[in-house]
This record gives sequence, structure tokens and C-alpha cells, in this order.
Amino acid sequence: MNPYGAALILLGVVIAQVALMPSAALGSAVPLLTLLVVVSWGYVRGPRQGMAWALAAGLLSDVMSPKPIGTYTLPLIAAALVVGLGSGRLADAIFMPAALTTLATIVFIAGQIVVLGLIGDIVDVRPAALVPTVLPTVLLNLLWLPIVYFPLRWLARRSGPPRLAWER
Amino acid sequence: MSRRDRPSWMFALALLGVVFGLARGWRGPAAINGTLSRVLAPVTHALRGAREQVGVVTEWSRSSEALEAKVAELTEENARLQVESTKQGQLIRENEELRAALGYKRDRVDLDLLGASVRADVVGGEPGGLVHAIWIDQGSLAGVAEGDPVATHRGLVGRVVRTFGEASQVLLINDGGSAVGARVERSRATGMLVGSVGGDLTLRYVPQNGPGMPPNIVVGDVIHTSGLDGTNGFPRMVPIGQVIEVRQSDERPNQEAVVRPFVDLGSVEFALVITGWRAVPLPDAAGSTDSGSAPDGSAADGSAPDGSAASGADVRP
Repeated sequence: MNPYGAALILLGVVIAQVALMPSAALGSAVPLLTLLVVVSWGYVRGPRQGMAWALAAGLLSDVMSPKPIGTYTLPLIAAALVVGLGSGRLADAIFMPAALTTLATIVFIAGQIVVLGLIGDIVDVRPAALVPTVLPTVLLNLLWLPIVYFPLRWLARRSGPPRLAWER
Repeated sequence: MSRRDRPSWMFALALLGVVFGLARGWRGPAAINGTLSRVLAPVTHALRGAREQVGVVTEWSRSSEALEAKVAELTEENARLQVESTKQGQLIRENEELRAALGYKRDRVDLDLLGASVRADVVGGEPGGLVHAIWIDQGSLAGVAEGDPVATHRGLVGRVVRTFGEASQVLLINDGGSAVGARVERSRATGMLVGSVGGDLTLRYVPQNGPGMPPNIVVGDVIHTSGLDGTNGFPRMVPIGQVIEVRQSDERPNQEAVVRPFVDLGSVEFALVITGWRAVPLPDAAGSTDSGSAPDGSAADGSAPDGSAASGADVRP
């Protein structure tokens, strides 16, 4: 895909994440639109493009955050890496986008906890503290997945040859 | 290096840059931050407007479908009235909030609040759930500066951490990187209120009282700012929240408590930026630590309510 087009899409996604997603929050959990875009694109276009989108989306998110650069980039790249590893064997299974989204959300949150802990933020890793954040986030991401995944799948088909067997 | 390898090297270099930036605590180029913050407020307002329009249309269509079968000519009227009613409800709620904010401003004349005309609307959140911050649509052009405390009439919200021309970013008090000097209203015991990545607020380092003495902190105690953060901290007596759980152990000299904030930090719609307050002087040799302005607006150290006395360190001229 044209890198300028991709940058424009990611810019729009990050602004939507900051401006719109807080109103779709469930308690303190918000749907991670940026992560869903990275997961979906990594799944339909392969790990290399997924990682590239993770890097770009992460940097844009970092710019919009009061925390140091890397707070979003590194966890997003870790999530894209998981998608890349996981989408190899069962790439054509119908449940894969949902399974990868669940896994990527957990990896993203775990990665961000590590990064925030490294920069000196107070991190409470007790299950009682983490579950109320992780579970609603996974749930919200699964609910928002179709809204992100299907348009991106359509875009991927238009912008290049299909990668997955069932797309051909 | 082949053309195929080039993206991998570029990616690796970029990743190295990110890790280096993280280690140095770099927040990205200010020019890009500023440009994006300028885009954010108009986009948010436009999206909110569009959402309200969709809501109006949805409401109208729902009403018309229900009434069309009965009286066709009443459909439009009914829908209009419903929309009007919804709008009036919103206006009443907004009016109540603004009146409360105005009352707070009158009550706390020691705090110079950016009031109704330049009150800050919340125009954005954080790109993820573990960092707790908001964007407001007032920046350095309106006199907002980094370090300014942010509150609503209900209580403390956070502190401005970045300002741009027309927008600022506020780190909420429940963020893992936030720390606020706090005091228990009943016992006057002080502690440090810290957030966490999960968004919980914990009051730490509250000293334990001796045997037979009333406890320094119990469930239901009201917590407010102590003002003992130094010149870059928070003004005193701004309400924060209420204790909902006390974690006490006889082996430790200090105890801690879980605090529920008075402000629903997840749904702040507008906030007041405290721009011109006077910091409490830090403890000196004479041991005077509790000067500063009182909640009624008069100053405990004898200064005028407008904070014009010489004592105390000015945050800004």
C-alpha cells in the first residue's frame, strides 16, 4: 500500500482514538482502535506490514501522550509480533482475527505495564487490579473488531493481491 | 544492502531510536505535538456535533414511526417536542454544572480560575487505557501553563503537563505517574496520594497513631489537598475524594487507604484551570508549615483573599 495513504489512515485512526474512543469507554477501559488496526492489517497483509503499521501508529500515539516516546510504540510492536507469529499456522481459520485480537490486547497491556513500570510509574500487578482493566478492554476490542477488520480487509483486497487462501 | 533488506534496517533503526527516546524520556518533537493538538479540538467538536445531529435524527424517526399509525399530523410535532425536551434537559444539566462551577469560583477567591468565558472543554482522552490523561481546549494563549492544577467544582482533576497555543494536556490524579500531597480532613494527617496504571487512587504514608488514640484515617474520611507539594504542587483545601478502604498493619509505621475521587475522572466534560494561586511556603526553621489560604477565601497567614500578601512563593507573577 502507498505509504502516504497508510500514514493518512493511521493519523485519522489515532485522532479518532483520542477524540472519540473515550466516549465509548467501559469503566476505565477504552476500545483500542489503534491496536485493532495494527492487528487487522498485520493479519490480512502479513507481519512485515503489521510491524510497520505498529511503528507508525505507535509513534503517532506517543506524540499524543504525556508519557515518553515508546510508551505506545513498543507495546504495539510486541502485539504486531504476536499477530505475525500467530497468523502463520492457522491463518485461514475463521476465529483467528478474534483470537489474535484477544492475544494482542493482552500482550499490548502487558507490554505497556512493563514500559510504564520502567519509566517510574506506579504499577499494580495484582490480578485484582489488572483484571478490571484487561477484561473490559478485551471485550470492547472484540466488539469493535468487525468495524475495523472488514473495512481493512476490503482495503487490503483493493490495494494488493490476497495473502490468505480463503480470500482468493 | 539489497532493496529488500532496506525496510528491515530502517525499522530496526527506528526501533532503536524509540528505545533511546524512552530511556531519555523524550516526548516527541514539539512542532508535531502542537500541530496535532491544533487539529484535535476542531475534530472533536465536529464529531460531537455530527453525533448530536445523528441523535436528533434517530430520535425524530423513532417518534414518527410510533405515531404515524395513529395521527400523522402529530408526528412531526411530537418529534420536535421530544428533541426540544432532550435539548432542554441537556441545557438544564449544563446550567447546573456551570452554576456550581461559578459558586466554586466565588467560594475559592484565593484560586484564580479560568472561568466561564474561557473554561476548558475536554476534547480528547489518551490513546490507551493505562495512561490517564485528557486534552482540554485551552492553552498558553489563554494563560494556561505547565504545572497548573485543574479542577471542577466537585474536586481535583489533575495537573497540566503540556501546553500548546490552543490546547493543553492534563495528567489525571489517578495516573500512575501522578502524586499529590493530601490531608485527611478529620484528623489533619497528611500523606501522598498516588495513582496507578489501573486508575486506582491510593493515599500512602499516613502515619499510624499510638495505641488508645483515634485512628488517623477511617473509611468515609474526606481527603483534600495539603498544599505541601512545594511551588510546583497543588493549592491546599481542594477536595479530592473519600476513603473507601483502609489498609493497616501494626508492623508498619505508615498505613494506606484507597480513595474514591469526587470527580468521575473517566467522564470529565469541562474543567477549570487554576492559574494564579500562591504556594504554601515549605517548612522553615521556625517550623511554620500550615500557612496559606483558608477554604473560605481568607488567608491563614493574614494575606488578602486575592493573594496579594508578600508571604508565600508566587507560582507566576
